[in-house]
Amino acid sequence: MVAPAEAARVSPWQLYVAFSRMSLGGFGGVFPMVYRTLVERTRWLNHTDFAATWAFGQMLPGSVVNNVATMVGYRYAGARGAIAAVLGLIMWPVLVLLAVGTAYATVGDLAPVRRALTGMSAAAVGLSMATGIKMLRNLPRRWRHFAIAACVFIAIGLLRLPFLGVFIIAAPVSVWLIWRAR
Amino acid sequence: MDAAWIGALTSSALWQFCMHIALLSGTAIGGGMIAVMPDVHRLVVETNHWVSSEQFTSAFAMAQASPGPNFLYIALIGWQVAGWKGTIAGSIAVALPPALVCYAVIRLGSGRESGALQKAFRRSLVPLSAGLLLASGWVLANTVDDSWRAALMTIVFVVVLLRTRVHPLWLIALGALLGGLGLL
Repeated sequence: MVAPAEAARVSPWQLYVAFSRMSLGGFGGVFPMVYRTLVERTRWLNHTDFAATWAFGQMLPGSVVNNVATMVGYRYAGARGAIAAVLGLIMWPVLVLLAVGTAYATVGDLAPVRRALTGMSAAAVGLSMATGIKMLRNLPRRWRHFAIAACVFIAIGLLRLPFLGVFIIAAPVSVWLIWRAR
Repeated sequence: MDAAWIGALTSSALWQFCMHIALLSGTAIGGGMIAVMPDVHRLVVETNHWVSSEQFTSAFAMAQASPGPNFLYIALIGWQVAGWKGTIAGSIAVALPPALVCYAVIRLGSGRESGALQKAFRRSLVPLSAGLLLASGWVLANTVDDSWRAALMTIVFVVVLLRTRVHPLWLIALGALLGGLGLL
């Protein structure tokens, strides 16, 4: 799945350009752009490859998109391809965010700007919550799935325990519960 | 080697921030940097007081409204911690460790879909991720929704996002408008 490709070769530069376009075109999450570009436009991956790459990226630490860029870059152009893809993914958004940060440092203390940012924040919170609820709705209707989600929410959201400690305990328990219930 | 120079570097906010972010990003399985937001909040707001709670949520909201992957909200938090250097170094700290882990894993050849245990692992991450995302939303909500109007707006937006296919960017723009007009 992620070995260097036997068939088509894609240059690091093409990877850099493609991932730059995906990242700059993706507002509020780049997943739709990544799918459209990799599967529908460039056809570097077919739907099955994409799903497998995405699923594998979810099992590794960090953002899935970052992992997908690393894997696709490596698959088509080795280490240089991986660097080119990740660089494409973050370089232009970081430049935009430098401008945003500078603007915030200049006008961020003005009352109307602060009020507007409060409104934006309230919306962004709603976005995170809605994503979590959507994942919850898509879980299999079994008590153990909801119990795991609830325990993680209580441990991290309410008790404010550190992520790593919770994960080290919750992940094996979760694997065991779901493994046993096959 | 000038030991004082190294001491000054490693005790700087920029260095501390980057090391902690690198550790978090390299271990954040099951939801990436959005899922470990409560830990980032604790690091920069509660423990070290590098940024205020309001700056933290503003950085998150501005990053959501900007193009690029979600995890780059760290770049704007970096701005609050140490200016442009914080943005650049923070972006590297958030993207490089997971990319190296991913590279090592595929080089070692375990990038094959195999085994029921791997499948069970992947499936068991889904409820974990759901819990993590809700926890992140909850921690953010506690810092943002201190007025009942802001809390109400968050609830309305959640319902709208669940019921319709409206693009989230429109809701963020609407939030900016309502907030700017002083309605929150």
